[in-house]
Amino acid sequence: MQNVRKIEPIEGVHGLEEPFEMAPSAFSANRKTLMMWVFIISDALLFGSFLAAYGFERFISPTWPDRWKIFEPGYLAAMTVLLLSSSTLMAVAVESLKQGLKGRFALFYTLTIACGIVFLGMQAHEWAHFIGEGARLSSNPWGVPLFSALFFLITGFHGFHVFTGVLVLIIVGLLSLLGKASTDTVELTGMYWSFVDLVWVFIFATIYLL
Amino acid sequence: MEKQDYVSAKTFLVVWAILMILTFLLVETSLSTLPMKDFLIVIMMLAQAYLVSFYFMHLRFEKLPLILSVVLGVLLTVLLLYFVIIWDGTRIVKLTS
Repeated sequence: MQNVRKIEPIEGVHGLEEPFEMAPSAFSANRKTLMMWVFIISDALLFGSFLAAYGFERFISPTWPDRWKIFEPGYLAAMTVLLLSSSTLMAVAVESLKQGLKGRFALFYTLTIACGIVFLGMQAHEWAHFIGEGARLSSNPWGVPLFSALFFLITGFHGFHVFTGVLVLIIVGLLSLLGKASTDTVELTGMYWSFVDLVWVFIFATIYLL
Repeated sequence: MEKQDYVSAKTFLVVWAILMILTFLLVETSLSTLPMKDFLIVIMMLAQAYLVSFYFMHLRFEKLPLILSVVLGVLLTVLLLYFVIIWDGTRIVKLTS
């Protein structure tokens, strides 16, 4: 069993005359991993409430713009493919590092960052296209003002998460190049990066497909 | 980290291939006029979410209490939020209009 803490006896303290073992945590996860999950759950609830707000507006609104008249299906599919591939590459990179394959780790890690940066560029281009069509925070040419407001809010928040993710990936990459980042740190970074991808899966289906 | 949580690159390749197929099917379903379109999209979205969280975020290797806290915690809260907002929100909208 992991995470069993041995408590050493302390002289003169009542109840601590003999050594004993603390029961393992029910989660039996490493402390850092557990905290990362707490952060991810809170972030997931933030996006969950955004998407619930979107769903509500959609439900009470008599009309809703046809997304495929505004966006290009192929372009969005490419963005999804890019982000999904990026988190696959990250997962392979983490596994390579665990097995001690430094060269393979560096290759896949660099590809992960590259995919993230290309995704950000594509999102910026999409926003430019959307604004060019006449969408603003408080109005748009398709009749439902809240559609563009929620679109900017949700994809903007997600885009900023991707941006932060790329920055974290670069910083952790440099630290591990200097030998200052442990395997755990890289793995937690991978968890965050996959989470960003997970959020995109929900945003893609809710905003564009449904 | 435990010994058995090594995953071969082949597993990731298979997961990636399934994710790609699902993405293609999602876009095709959205563009089609199938009767159960929305239901199919939600099912495929959840399948993608399962693959990403269980394989890429290593949820598969965690203990059951942690899996339940994460999955049920997020899922039930969002469902509650969504249905309470829709149920109560539509009532208020009807009252004010």
